[in-house]
Amino acid sequence: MKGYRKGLVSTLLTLGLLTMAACGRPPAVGGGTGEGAHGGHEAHGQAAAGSAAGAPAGAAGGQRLRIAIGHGLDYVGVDPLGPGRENTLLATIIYEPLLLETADGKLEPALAERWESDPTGTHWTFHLRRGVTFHDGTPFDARAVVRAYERHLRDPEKARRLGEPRVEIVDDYTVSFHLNRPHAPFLSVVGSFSTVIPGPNAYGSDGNLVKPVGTGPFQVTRFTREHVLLARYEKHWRQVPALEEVEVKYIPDPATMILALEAGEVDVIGADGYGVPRNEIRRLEADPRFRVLVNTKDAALEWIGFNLHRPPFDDLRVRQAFNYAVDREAITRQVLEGYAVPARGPIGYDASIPWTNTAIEGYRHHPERARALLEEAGWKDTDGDGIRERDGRPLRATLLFEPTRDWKLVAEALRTQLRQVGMDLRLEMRDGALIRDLQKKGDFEAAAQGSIGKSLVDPYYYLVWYYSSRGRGSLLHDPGLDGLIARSLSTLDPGERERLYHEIQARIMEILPGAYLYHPARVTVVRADVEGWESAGTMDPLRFLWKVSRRGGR
Amino acid sequence: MPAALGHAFRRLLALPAVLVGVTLLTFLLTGLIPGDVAEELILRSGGQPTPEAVAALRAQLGLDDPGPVRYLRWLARVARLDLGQSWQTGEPVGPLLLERLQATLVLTGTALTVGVGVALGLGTWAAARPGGLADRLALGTTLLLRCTPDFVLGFVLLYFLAVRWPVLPLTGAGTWRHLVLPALVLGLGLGATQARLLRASLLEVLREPFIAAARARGLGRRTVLLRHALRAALVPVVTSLGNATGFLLGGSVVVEAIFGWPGVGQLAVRAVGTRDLPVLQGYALAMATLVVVVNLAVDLSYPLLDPRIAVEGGERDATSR
Repeated sequence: MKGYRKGLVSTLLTLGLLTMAACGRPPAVGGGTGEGAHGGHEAHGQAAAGSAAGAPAGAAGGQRLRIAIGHGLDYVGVDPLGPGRENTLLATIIYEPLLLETADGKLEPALAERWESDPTGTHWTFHLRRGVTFHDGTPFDARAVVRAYERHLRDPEKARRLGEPRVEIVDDYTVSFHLNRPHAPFLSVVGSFSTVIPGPNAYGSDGNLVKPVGTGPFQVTRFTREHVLLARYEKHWRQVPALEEVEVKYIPDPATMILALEAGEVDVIGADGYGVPRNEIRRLEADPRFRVLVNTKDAALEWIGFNLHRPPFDDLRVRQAFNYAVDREAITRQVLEGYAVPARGPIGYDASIPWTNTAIEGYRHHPERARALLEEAGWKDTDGDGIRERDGRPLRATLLFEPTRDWKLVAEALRTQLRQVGMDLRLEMRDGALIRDLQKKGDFEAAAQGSIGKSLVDPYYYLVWYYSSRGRGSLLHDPGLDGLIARSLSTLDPGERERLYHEIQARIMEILPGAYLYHPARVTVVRADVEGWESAGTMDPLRFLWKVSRRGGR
Repeated sequence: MPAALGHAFRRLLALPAVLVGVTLLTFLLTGLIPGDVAEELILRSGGQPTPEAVAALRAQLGLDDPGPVRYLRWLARVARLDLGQSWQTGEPVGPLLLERLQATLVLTGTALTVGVGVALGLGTWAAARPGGLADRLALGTTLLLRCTPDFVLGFVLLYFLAVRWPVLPLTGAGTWRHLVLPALVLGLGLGATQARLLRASLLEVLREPFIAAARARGLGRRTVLLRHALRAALVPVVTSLGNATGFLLGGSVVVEAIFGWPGVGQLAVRAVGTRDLPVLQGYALAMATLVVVVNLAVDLSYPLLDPRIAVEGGERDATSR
């Protein structure tokens, strides 16, 4: 008994000591940059000496910015490129692609200074920027590009999106791509975060990325589970960022995130496009310590897809009636409190969204016309319960949607609006994967759709995904549309492509496979002295971080 | 103490069976999650799941094999102490879990300490003079704490101690100061429950003959309460604490999310969202092991606390004292 008790006591003591020891040191993943004592600054290379990790903003002289991220950061690894990864968040500030997307959806030179193609559009040459170095001092050259692309092309999906090119070194600063056939979206993929170029020392022996070594404006100095510390890269080719240090902090709970902003623990929230609850935005807007940035020039679009092979939406008149019954103005103004723009068609609402066919007027709220169309389609309210019937069956449909805050509210508004024209819209909240599954099987009536593959630079994959027979989320099989999409893929002339895209949109509005509802605004809240913040796509929200500075040099 | 050791040994022998059961159940349940795992993984990485890409990933992850084959293959790997790699990040699951588990254990360990402290303090204080002012005060406080959900308590503490009067950091991990708020939130609720339990148990024990005997020997109130009664009264508290450890480990998810604590709960929540089955399987295995081990430790502690409890059969033999 005595010995046994002693054993237990010493075990407990040991456990206690271990706990204390564990307390003293944060669990950190090295990520190849090493890990330091807590609070110390682990300078990687020459950067950002003199600013301590634990110091308050401005205390150490340099400009500092702390960004809270709700989703994604937890899993940010050093490799933004492997299959099934969600680590793209930091990819475009640590690494860079050959070309870069601008905020308005154009492509500008990045690691490639200029580029050209032969008249057939199958042979592309990129002239690389000279004098660029990776964070570890290795010079950037054609070999790094080829190595990166060899890895990108191992992924069959990425290879397809690039048009399955063959890559070769022409000389130290020239790389050429050979495609078997013209592939119009090629440049847009070369200019996306999915084709960034890591340094030669970033790879491990298995070819995976093990160290975050890139050419981007910021380099990783510390990498743990709850935050990432970045220091500006002093030798960046474009301009050295004004921010000396950036901390990207993972705060999963949106309410805590707002408290953290108010407590001065972070400077930016909502950058990831998920985090700021709408009911709190007004309060933050009234607070002079913060600025609320609202971006509606985004590729995002919320809409409902119909099942064209099942009643009641197999009838074009019912789909039109649905569209007339929806009051988009009321939804964006009242439900979404103005943080959204009513949608007109499948791409954008005006010319500020590239590729938009501005001739499309869309559907305005017109309940009378909706009722007339339903009447014409044979749906009449015979028993006076407010819901129309035909052949004894009520006009009823189920709407599947994901449990996001916005969709819950929007779906309820839709139910009320449709009831006013005599349709009973049932609401079913389901997991996104289940919705996609049911949709694939054709076992649904109406389902909320997102913006898979929709980008400002080129929405080609979005069009393929939802409107081509080849797409996985395909809502329709229309030979006319298939032909138009195929032609747009092989058409290189920008004007001609634009014309084809307009034709595609017009055809979509004719068939009307969906109800286009609204373009949600991305709301970012920053501390009032943060200047130059521009939001980018949801997958690479920090792309323009190099432009940010703090007024008064704080 | 051969009986106790034999008992412990048998419990340890049963452990593999329990673990196989738990992991099998996890495996079957994850099979019920709708949607194509490979397709979800690609979509979440911002890629486009063409049929080719999905097929390639399915092949790479071995998803095309029948369920039993996949489970046995996983089991065989676990036997070699290899938990596989996260589908989401490619990291080996073992070290990933250990690292996260460490953070969670630090948090739950501290919370447990807070809880035990609160329980011992308030429980004995209340039981010392039943019905007195201290007792009523303690009962009121513990009732209030027990009825407050973790997230409410979390936000109240966050608001006052980190936003209104910023004495503690709001989120993050690394120093003891980061630990205070989440440990208080987890520990106070636990402590409140245990304090009430301890008070009731103490009052019961104080009516037992051996206490009367101790008093008769002329021992002081204090000595009787703390030396004799408290130890015996701890038995139900320790049992309840053992159960609470399981809840703490599972229930720290909410607190971890509120305070941005990089623990295993958050890892598991995200693994569900991203269909990261190797991580989920590893998580289930680790949690089951911990809960079984904690319960074993609780069982083994009974005879230490109250020698009247014989391990075998658990009969009370009051005459042995």
